[in-house]
Formats: sequence, structure tokens, C-alpha cells
Amino acid sequence: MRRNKTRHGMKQKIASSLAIPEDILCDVPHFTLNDNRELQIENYKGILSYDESEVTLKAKGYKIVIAGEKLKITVITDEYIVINGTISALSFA
Amino acid sequence: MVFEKILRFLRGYMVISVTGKFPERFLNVCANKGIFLSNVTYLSENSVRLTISTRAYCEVEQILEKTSCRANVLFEGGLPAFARKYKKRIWLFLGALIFFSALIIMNLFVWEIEIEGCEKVLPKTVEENLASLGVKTGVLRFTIDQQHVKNEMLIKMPELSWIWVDNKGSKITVNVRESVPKPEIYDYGDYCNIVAAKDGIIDSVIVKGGTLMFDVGDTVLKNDILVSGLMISERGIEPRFLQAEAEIYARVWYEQTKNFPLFEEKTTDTGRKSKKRIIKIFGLEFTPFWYKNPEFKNYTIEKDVKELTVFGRFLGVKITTEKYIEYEKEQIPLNEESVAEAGAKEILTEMENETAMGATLEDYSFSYVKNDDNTVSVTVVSEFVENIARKVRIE
Repeated sequence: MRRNKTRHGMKQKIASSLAIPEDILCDVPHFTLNDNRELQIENYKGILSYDESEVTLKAKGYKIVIAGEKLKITVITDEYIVINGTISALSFA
Repeated sequence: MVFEKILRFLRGYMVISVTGKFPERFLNVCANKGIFLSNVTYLSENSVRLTISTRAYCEVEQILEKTSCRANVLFEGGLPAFARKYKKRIWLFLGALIFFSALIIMNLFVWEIEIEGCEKVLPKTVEENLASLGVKTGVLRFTIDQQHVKNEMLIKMPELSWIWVDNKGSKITVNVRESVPKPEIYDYGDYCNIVAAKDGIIDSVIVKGGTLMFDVGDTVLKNDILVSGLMISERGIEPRFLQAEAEIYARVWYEQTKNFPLFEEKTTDTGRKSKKRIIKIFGLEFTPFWYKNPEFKNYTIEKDVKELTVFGRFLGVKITTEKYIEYEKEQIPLNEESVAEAGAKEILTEMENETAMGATLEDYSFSYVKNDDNTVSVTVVSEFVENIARKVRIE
């Protein structure tokens, strides 16, 4: 665990010193939010729970909680997930 | 997105519901195995609905077993499913094939000729001339040489100054422009007299060439020679002919009588309407039997024409919708004097159109008589001063 954290930290330092976007090198989630209607998350690790008002996703080291109304997973692949609906909150646990 | 939908349709897709203790697990495993899932909708705590490609559905059976879920196919769509469904209905495909083939073949012919821009020339005359050049309904449209038709039409019909033939599918649009008649031109060597175009009393004269035959105040009749082209010199020079040139202004009287109704017709919609559709397929026009002619006495017609076109090209099928709207006529009585005054103005405008250019109205009077048929006869007598000079060649 500690080794992983160190490696992650190293990658972060390299990315910032070379001015490369962090999500390319560090494999961290990348969010694209269109209004409050559509959220695209790249580099997620899996779905933990799903219902119409809340979607919980697993990311590297934490959880992503998307709250809203009439949430729908429009597309799901191993690389990215697209969630549609009326998004009211995005939190990290 | 549209491209994705087309691809999904071509490959075939299924809408399934997945039920299990943890449907999320099923989604995760599918995603990890690279199976594309879309439109995942929450149904209940243990159930989701999703769309999956037909080919991928075969692969998920193992995943379902592994994740303790079961799937229910709700709908199967796309081209493979469609083909499977209609595999045995060969006549349906054959019918569609025959229909489209017939449409393509019939599209090779001309089914409609539209003539635009006619003012004085009758469209029927243009149509007849076009037919004599082979442009008529039912001919192969590729046999029409547009340039040849244009040239020949201008030779055949001198009253046309310009013509354009356009071919849009099965419809030939012919656009014409009419020529203005050329005025009679007199050369220097042409000898002319000036004659009176109308009866009148000469008011003023401006003679630029020729011998004046009347004086101011004289009464002249139509076709009287006003200025002669024969010049006789008082100094003993031999008489010679020339082209008489003059402006002869005369007082000309006009009288016209016209009947006007002593009521105004007002129309009000009764609210009753009926409709009729006329279908024209490849030059053959018919009305479906369930459409009947309107039973109303007074009605207006609103026409709406819809043509079957593909990329702006007419395919030979036209549907005309005729909407009949019934109205009621109501006669509102009018005052005799006001009708006579309005009628006199109308007659005067007609008279002004009859006079030569530049004519001025000097005076007018009108009288009226009431008729038995609820009309009034208005008679207008007007006096105009106008140029009555008209050149006539000396033979």
C-alpha cells in the first residue's frame, strides 16, 4: 500500500514537472460534466451500487458518489462510464 | 451518436432485464470483459434493464452464471432480427422490389409539364408547340434535347422573347417571357401624313414638318388628314413629299354607360367544410370513391398540392387536396347616389386608360337612372385634351 502511494506520488511529480496531464500518466479518474445532465468518467474501476437517485463508483483509493434524479447509465465500458440524468451532487468518499 | 445507432441496428441488439442479488457485479464483469453495454436503467433494487448487441449476448451467459443473475430478453431489434422475422415473407420483399423498380422505370418518363410566365400567350398554345417538338407527357425524358427545344420554340413562337426548359425528375418546367411588340419605325425616306386618331375639336398644334390642313377650333373626324406630307411651296419650287411630323392636341369627348348593383354582397363562413383528394399517378388522374363533390351552393376552394419528390426530383405522383369552405351571401342595400358616384369614378378610370399618353381631363359629368333589377345605370360624359396625331404612310 505504501509502495503504491509512493509510486503514485512519483508519477504525479513527473507529470507536473513535465507538464503532462496527470490522468494520462497516473491513471486517475477524469471527469467531463456537461451542464448537470451528463457526466463522463474515465479511468473508473467499477460500479459499487446503482439506483435512480445515487450511483457509487469505485476509483483508485476512494469512492465517487453521484447523486441526482432519474440517473441512467447510458454507456458502460471498461474504460469509461457515462451517466445521464439530473445530477445534483458529486462527492468523494 | 447517429452513426452508433446505425451500427447498432446493422449488428442487431437486444434489450434485456438482468435480475440478481447484485446486478452491479454483472455490469462490472461485463465492462471488464470488454462487452459494450448501453442504456442501463434502474428497474428495482435487484434488477436493471440494458441494451446489448446480439453477438455479445451469447458471451454473457457465463457471466450471468458467475454473478448469480438471470436475464430476460425484452426486445430483439436490428437488421438480423428483422431479416429473421420476415424471412418467410418473400412476397413482401418481392412486392417492395417491384414497387421500387416500377418507380425507377416510371421516373424515366415525363409525367407533368408546368408552364410558367404566360401573360398574353395562352399556356395551351405553348403546350401545343412543345408537344409538336416532342415535349409531352409520356415521352422518355432523356430524349428531350433542351437546347434544341429552346431554339425551336423561339423560332415557332415569335411572341416569346426567352424560354427556359428545366427537367426535375418526371416534371418539365417551362419558363417563358413574352416579347414586347416593336413600334412602327419610319425611316427618313418614308413619306407620311398625319391623320386624326379620334373625332374632336383642335385645341393646339405643333407642326415640325408638313402642311397643316386644319386650324385651331376646327372640328375633325377620325382619319381626316391633319398634316399633309405633300409640301407645296409658294415660291414656285416643285412640290415634294416628306415625312409629316406634328403634335395635334384636340378636345375629345367620351361617353360610357355601365350598370352597378344597388347592394353590396357580404360573405360569411357558415363553418361547414368538406374535403376532396385528387391523386395523379403517372399522368392518370382519379379521385378515390369515398371523396364526393361538395353539396354546398356557395363555396371557396383552397388547394394544397403535395408532390412525391426525392432530393427535389419529382417522381410522377401528385396528391391535390381541395378544401371546400361554404359561405353565405348577404346583400346589404346601398344608397343610389353613393353607388352612382363610385361608379362614375370607376368609369372615368377606364376612360383614362383609353386615352393617349399625356391626356388631361378637362371636365366630366355623370347622370344615373335606377333600373327595375335593383341596379343603377351610370352614364359619364368626359372631355379630355389629348394628342390625336397618327402617322400614316403615303402609298
